[in-house]
Amino acid sequence: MTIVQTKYNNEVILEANQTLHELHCLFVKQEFEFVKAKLLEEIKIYRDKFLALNQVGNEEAKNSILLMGILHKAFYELVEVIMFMKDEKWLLDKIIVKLTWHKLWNCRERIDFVSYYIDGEFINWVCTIIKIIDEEFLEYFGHGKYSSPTIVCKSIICNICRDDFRKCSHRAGKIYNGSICSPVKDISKVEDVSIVHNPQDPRCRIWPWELDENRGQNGDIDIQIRTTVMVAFRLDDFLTD
Amino acid sequence: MFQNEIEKLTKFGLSLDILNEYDLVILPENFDEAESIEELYDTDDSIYLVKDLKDKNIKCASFIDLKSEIPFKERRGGDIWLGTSWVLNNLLLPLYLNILSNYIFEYIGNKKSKSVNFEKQNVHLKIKIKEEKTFSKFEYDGDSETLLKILKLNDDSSN
Repeated sequence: MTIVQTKYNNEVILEANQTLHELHCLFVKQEFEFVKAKLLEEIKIYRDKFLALNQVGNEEAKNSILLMGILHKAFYELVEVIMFMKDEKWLLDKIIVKLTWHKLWNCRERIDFVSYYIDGEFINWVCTIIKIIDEEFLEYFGHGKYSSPTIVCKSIICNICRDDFRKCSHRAGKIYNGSICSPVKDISKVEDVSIVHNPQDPRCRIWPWELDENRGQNGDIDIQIRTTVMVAFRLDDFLTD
Repeated sequence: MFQNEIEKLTKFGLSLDILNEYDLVILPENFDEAESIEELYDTDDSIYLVKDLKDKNIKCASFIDLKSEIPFKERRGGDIWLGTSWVLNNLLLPLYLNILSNYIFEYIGNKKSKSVNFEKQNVHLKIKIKEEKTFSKFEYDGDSETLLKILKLNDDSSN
């Protein structure tokens, strides 16, 4: 079985295929603790390899390590999600529900990112698991509502070429010589926060227990919401963990 | 002859020459309504659309290429905000609509792990097409799938 396929055919990818194949088998046998610990080790190895290469390595080596680091982190988060869900009463625990949703979306974003460069049965398998968990959330909590801020930025600078991102040719979310293009925004204000069905960041979900409804003496209803409005998330956070 | 457009251009200190220099310009979504240059802002999808158009070697500009830096507004919802497009060379209209529809299609459909949790995305855009003595205008605020059908109909009829 070919676990991952990329345009790169190097030692990093061959080793990752072997490791992911073994860990996938152990996952199926429900050896979650072992898989999680092993993935953490692998992620650290990718981080060290990447940092060692960063100044001198060639583009293919950097891109391969970056992609494999992100893929292993996605798998790690999927294992965490499955471990949360092992408890039959997980849906009754507000903290666990929120954390599971959060990690599920971290995992999904990483998979969406790497699947631009990587194909193979492993990616399809992870997507199938994500979909099953997604449907469980849908069945239990419905489509949900989300907070969505409008932010105004004074400037938006490309982290690859340092030019105004509106003028350069780089694309956000693509890899350039081992770096992910991620424009740097100088936020001057948050103009408003809307409640939407279709958010850019689903981690900003408003959970039923975050709504507080009070009826005043004159019959007015005062609804207070305490929720997450923005989340800082980096696809390549394994490099700084 | 395009009196409104000429007034707008001069109000924001832009030369009428841009109508000859470019085939297409993507202007801020509030270009028609803004009273001063300080009110103008770019939106993230319009930035990516300009990049797609330039990739296809279309002579295309955004406001920052034409005049000066303006703020950038990011709405962290799932809708697609594409600004105001002025198609100045109507021979390019089919290509522009094709790039536009590819952009929307990619945006709504390219996620490998697509979620079942969300509803359809809406698209917000204005297109002005320069004709001999006037601009014809198309404005859309609605769901992405219907817009893709409209764009497909247009593509079929132009082939």
